[in-house]
Amino acid sequence: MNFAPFVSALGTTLQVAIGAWILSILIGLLIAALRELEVRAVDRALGFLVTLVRATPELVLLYIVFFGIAYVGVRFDAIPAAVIALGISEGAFLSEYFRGAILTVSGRQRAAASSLGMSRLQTFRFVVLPQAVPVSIPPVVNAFVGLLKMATLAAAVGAPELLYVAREQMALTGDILQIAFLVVIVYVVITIPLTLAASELEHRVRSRLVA
Amino acid sequence: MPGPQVWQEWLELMGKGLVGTLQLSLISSVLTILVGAVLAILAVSQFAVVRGFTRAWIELFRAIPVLALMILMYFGFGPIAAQLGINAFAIAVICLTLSMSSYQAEIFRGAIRGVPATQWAAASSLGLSHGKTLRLVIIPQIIPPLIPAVVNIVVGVIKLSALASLITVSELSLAATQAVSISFYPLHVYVLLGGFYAVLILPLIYFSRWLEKWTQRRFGMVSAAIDRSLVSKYSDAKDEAKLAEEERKLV
Repeated sequence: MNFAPFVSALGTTLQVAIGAWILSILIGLLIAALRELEVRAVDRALGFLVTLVRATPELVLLYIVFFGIAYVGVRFDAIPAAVIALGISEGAFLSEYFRGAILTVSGRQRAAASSLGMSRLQTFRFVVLPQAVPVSIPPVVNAFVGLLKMATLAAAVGAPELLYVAREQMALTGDILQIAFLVVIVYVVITIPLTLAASELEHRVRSRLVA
Repeated sequence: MPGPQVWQEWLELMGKGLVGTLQLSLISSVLTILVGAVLAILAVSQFAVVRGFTRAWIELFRAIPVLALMILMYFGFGPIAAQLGINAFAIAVICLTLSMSSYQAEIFRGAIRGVPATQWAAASSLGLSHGKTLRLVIIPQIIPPLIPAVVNIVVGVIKLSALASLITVSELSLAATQAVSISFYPLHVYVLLGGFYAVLILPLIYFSRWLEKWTQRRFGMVSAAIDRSLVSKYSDAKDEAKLAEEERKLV
């Protein structure tokens, strides 16, 4: 079996996953920060938007970005379109995890910080953030695992990622079993260690929170 | 802007697609819930071999993307499957179930493990077998707090059912793609498609949030045993924090 097409396909998959990962972290942080400002209308509007995006299948978001936006004249290639669609989708989920992480720091601690004369920004920087960051790391790792799997959707708009190439090679060579096996192995080898690492991290963060 | 006749044509197409999505999601959800429950019980079996095999199964199907399962099965083994009477719809049901039931099993297993070990010890000191402890002590406690998690699984199934369009299953997303090809308005059609899914899924999400609060109020102590992150995929972070705070007071 010729492995070369699969290597470059894996590259495309990683490109989509890593690109979407970075974008989703940025979007998640931005939304969480905007909602932290506690302007009621902004919070409500973003809250609904986040829920709406979480309710939308990733494939539909991808079609809107790839085919829909092209209709009004902005054309994205398959890979950037997948990065944008998956980044927005995962960003909506991450924003909630970030907000959750911020909220694990209790109101009492914030009150204590303000009674020490810390400003809101100082409280956030020196009290909230150091505690919220470790709590957000496991969901951020999990987001990457999720995106690696969701990157398969890029095949739907013709990006030559793993699944797209696998399908092509299946038709070309007829080595169906070997190719199916190879694809499964690749996903297993990449995602299982990451999943285990994330749950181990989560375990550690939890035990620290309880203590 | 497309005229009213075009909209009507789309709505007719997508109405038919909606039936496909509902059938696919309903069958897959029911199977997922059943298979997921069985897998979770096997995953806490008293026999190490059964436990090990089930865990490996769960990890394997959580690791493979649903779309990969669908495409490998459909394009790889479709002709063989067709001879066995398995069409694209059945392949989609099988793939959604294999994947989502493994997620669900992991959630259920986490809930089972969340029940304090002292209860297992107490049950065994009363002479209850492993099976009886599960059936009479553990499972009745974890069912109420897991109901919102099950609703979230259904949401996941509906969202992923859109992928079945890529293996030619006649459902909403495929209907939308057909609507685009007969009248070239991709933005309108795909936003409308998103609207269809939102109408299906948003009520479920809000229902699951309400259920979370309701089960906690109704079954307070019991719900507190469940790890919040297991059920919170579609909930609001602020509500979650409030629920967690109330639970800390209970425990």
